[in-house]
Amino acid sequence: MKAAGFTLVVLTAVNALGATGACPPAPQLGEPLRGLSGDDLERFARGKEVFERTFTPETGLGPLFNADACGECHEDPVLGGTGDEVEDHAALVGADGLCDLLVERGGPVFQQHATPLLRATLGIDREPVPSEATVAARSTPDLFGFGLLDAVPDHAILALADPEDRNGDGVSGRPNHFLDGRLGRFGRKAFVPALAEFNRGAFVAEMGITNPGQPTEESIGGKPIPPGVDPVAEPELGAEDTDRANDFVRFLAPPARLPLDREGELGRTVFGGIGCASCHVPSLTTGGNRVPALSYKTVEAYSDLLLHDMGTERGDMCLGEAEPGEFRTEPLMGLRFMTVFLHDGKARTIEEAILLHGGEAAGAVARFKRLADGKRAALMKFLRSL
Amino acid sequence: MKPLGVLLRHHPAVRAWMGLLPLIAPFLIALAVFALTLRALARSVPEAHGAETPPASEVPAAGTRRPPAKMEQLTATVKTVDIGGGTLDLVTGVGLTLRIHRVHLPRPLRVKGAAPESAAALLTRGCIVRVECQVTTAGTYASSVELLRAAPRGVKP
Repeated sequence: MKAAGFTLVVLTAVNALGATGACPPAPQLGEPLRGLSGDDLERFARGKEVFERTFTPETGLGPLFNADACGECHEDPVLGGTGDEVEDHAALVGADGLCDLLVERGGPVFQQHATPLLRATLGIDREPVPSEATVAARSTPDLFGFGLLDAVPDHAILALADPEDRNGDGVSGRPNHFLDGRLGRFGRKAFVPALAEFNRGAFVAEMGITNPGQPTEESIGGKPIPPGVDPVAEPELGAEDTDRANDFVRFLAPPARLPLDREGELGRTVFGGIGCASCHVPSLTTGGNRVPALSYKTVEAYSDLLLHDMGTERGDMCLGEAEPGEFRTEPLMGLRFMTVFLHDGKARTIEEAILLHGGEAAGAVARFKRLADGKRAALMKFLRSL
Repeated sequence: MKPLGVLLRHHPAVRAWMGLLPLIAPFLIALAVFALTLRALARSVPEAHGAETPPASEVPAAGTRRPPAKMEQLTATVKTVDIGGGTLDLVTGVGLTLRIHRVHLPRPLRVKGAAPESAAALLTRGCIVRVECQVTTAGTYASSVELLRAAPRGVKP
């Protein structure tokens, strides 16, 4: 609590610089957006405490879970960042061609750990994945700037869609939709419409922590939780803590881009020239928002938040309307802090990640391969500035 | 001058009605009881749309008060349709935590804005519906169903 108080004082002082007209330094990684009110800074600081809190079975963890704290996965290089955990999601394309998210079998997130009580009762140490399912590995994204992505209006995303490729550039981009028909934008398949929902769901799917947003536990492979295995009453996390954790994520500032020298500027030109920017759209603008720091801001997301075909080789599971080979354009903010790349974490370097693009990106990849060494180096320098 | 109340009490017409009162009182009480019973019965039916009613076990014993049923609106994707059994399984979710809700359909089945004969054909796996429903301990009973979006053509395996 003392640490949170100290953090709050420092954050308020830095924000006050902005209020006095002095130009405050760009937020460091893991810091909140500039221009937040004192109340919102307090929410951020309190949310940070929840985000790094370690849960135990006695405080609601499980019975199935992937991690015991948000910060267990989102930790590198600071809280809210990336992690080396790779989890299992699964679904199935049904005989009718529609996506079956295996809800009655515990899908689409299949947890990799079980609490000691569940292990002792059922003799399992993880949730079983149906043998006929298509399993997808999912790496841990960083969360910097996600509040700004949340604040981009739907129409701005839809304006970038070109599902029929009417402009003939070989790049389509189409929206995914949630179960209730709303436009999706979060998650590797752009399935989830809003950050708050993603976070409330993540408490349950990742840690087995029920909350007012999702007050029911995950099943055990579709079967009810055996009596006595989950003794903590629902919801296991109150509304206040749930909302504050969301505020922490919502107010995390995007990483400031590194300044570009001439080579980096050339790299930026190459990025657009070979076609990367067709999907990795350099910037999006937020709409009106209750929080001034999120209102009408430009976010250098390098994403259009739409689905694109990445090719059959990269394809895995379906999700909503997203086909197995379709993925949301991954935002590139914070790229320089990532240690593994792509949705499945298969690429170890940025260059390898580029080469593993297929489908709609095939043309851009072909142009990348033809780049002279100098231009390729410039492109890498630009990407490492993000 | 006599007060108005005294004048009225002695008026011949009023006196005649007062004489009839003991004779018609039982009839008036019976009428009131009948009206109250009708009102209570009307309230126990989920909606005036003819929704399938909750089972008898849901009807409270005489003299007990019925717990207020929770009205809910679900907007969700249809997972399975059982027109014969009168149910829909809907998938809702919060983030990536997804849940299935079994909803009992109104009888006869009606879908807002659709002809009655085509209602069943409109409800297919993958379509998105908005359902107004009454949630009871025995289940979820739809009073109205609205098709928001037809099922997509499917994903390429």
